[in-house]
Amino acid sequence: MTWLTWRQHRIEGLILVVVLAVIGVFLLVTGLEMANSFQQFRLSNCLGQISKGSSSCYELGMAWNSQYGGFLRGAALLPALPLLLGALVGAPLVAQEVEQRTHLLIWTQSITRLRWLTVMLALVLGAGLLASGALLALLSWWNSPSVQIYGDSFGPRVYDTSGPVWVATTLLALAVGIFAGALTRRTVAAIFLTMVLFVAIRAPVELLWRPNFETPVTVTYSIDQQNPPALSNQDWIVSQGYIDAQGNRSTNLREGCAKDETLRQCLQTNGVQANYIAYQPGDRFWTFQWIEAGIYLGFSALALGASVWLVRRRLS
Amino acid sequence: MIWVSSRQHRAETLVVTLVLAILAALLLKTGLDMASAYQQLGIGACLAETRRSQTCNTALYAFQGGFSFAISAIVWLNVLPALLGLFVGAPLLARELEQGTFRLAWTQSVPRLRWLEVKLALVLGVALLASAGLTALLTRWFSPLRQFGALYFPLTFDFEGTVPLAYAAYALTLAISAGALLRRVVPAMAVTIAGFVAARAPVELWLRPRYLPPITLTGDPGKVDAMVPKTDWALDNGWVDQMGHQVHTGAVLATCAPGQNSIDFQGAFAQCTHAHGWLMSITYQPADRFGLFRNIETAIFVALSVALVALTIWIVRRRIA
Repeated sequence: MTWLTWRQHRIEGLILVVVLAVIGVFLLVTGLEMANSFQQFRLSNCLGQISKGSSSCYELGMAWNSQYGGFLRGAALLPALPLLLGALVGAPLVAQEVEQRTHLLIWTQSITRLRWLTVMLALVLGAGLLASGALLALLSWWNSPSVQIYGDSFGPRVYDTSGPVWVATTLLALAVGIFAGALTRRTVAAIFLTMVLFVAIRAPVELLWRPNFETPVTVTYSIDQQNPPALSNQDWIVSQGYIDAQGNRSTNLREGCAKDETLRQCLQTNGVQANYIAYQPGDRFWTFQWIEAGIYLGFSALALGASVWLVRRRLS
Repeated sequence: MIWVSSRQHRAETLVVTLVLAILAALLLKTGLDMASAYQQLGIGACLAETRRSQTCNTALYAFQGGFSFAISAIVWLNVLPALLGLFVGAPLLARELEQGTFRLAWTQSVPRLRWLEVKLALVLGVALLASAGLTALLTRWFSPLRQFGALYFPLTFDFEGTVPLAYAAYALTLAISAGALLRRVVPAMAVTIAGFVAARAPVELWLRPRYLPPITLTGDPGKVDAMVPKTDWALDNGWVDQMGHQVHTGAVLATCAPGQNSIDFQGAFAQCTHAHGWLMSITYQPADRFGLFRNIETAIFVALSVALVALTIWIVRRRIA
């Protein structure tokens, strides 16, 4: 059985290794360069200074960004990798057998279909998790200079490729792929469904739920104050705006400002009583990572359970 | 033949239409919101100001903050051509070949080459029509953002004019030829994704800034940066000495603004860099080249598509028995 799984998936495994190697080389080369110029720019003197308004550090940060911004933007594509794994390896797992009718042969051998599925799941999920773990080690090193400069650890590129969330995302994509395959029994449809389901789970969690895993800390400051109170650059501002006399918050002014008004006059005519900033403190990072990983693990368990049920009961 | 094609692809057409309709609705909604906020907040007048008043800064901040999510989400539309290739292009031949249905399809009164021509024409035609519609909508959508000069430049380039149509044609023909070559759906899909990224990413990140040699201006800070219009595409900012050798930005700042919190580019900082003989150098592509750049990029992807169509026809004629 292990041999069969290996034999069926060895090309996929080989491709996975090649893809990992290519990405690994890219990350190594660019990561070394970034770490090197981090030293050369003497950016370690600037840690935490950019958000405090140090403009020489700001200029340095900008200069660093103009050199490596392209790499960072390219790396924003990395969160799509788990989805590709789920779509191209997970979805065909059951769907292709049923579509090509090979399941009729396989499931009537001495090994029960449940055992077939368990071994397949264990090996494919294991390999996927191993791959994402290997990449994770490299990614956290690669991300560290930009996190130290910009403190963007809550930004999607860093957050999504960090620790538990990255590994749980891989598991989720594979599990959803396998479930979609067992449900639709057709490869192309399963791949499509995998992408739809993955985005349908991922996008609301990332956009709506993540900023509110824990109640954000709110700071209010008077409208006479021009600049908001300084936060650490590791903090994540989830919303900022204005509070009116009734205590309602809004992110926009009701009416715009007239040209000749000062900012204070403009805020007053708009009925603004105070400004506010709501943020998630930087030390909640790992709590948030584990909460989100837990959510994805829950969905994965659900998808895998449904797949087992479908294979046992529904597919003949 | 046309009936067979439409019958085989009607589910895909339905899904594509549905996705496009949802996208169009979202774009219309956010586009109209953005245009009205642009009017209401008086962004146009603010952008025209040479020295920004505080009220203008607040208005600009509110505008950019309010639509930052929509603007960052637009980047993901770059994957649409790849999805089209993945779900329409890759199975087109691979599925017939994998499931053996080509034996029936190609032994009818319609010769295989004609079968392929009709399929290609219909699928490519519909895809190009759809992406032209989406491009028209996106061009409208971007019109307030275009007033910000080149601030959103790399983003707008990908969605304007003939460029997105060429991407769509490339993704589709790549997927179809991968299907013909590999004769299996899933590997053809994998090759489609890899091939699409492998062509798009290097062209966008490496080749595009080099279609024509960029212009470099050097001079004292506070003067040279004012000479480059905001509409131009700034590629690189740095420092050179009088021999033209590069000087590290870190070194310049450490010498002339050590530990300083605010740099006045016209004042002591400029005197200090001048005394050291350091010049600011700005490398950029002027805005009047953008039209040419679009045509070059379109030509690259159209040429790739034509080559891939030729490859597909050759494989179907000669290689597949």
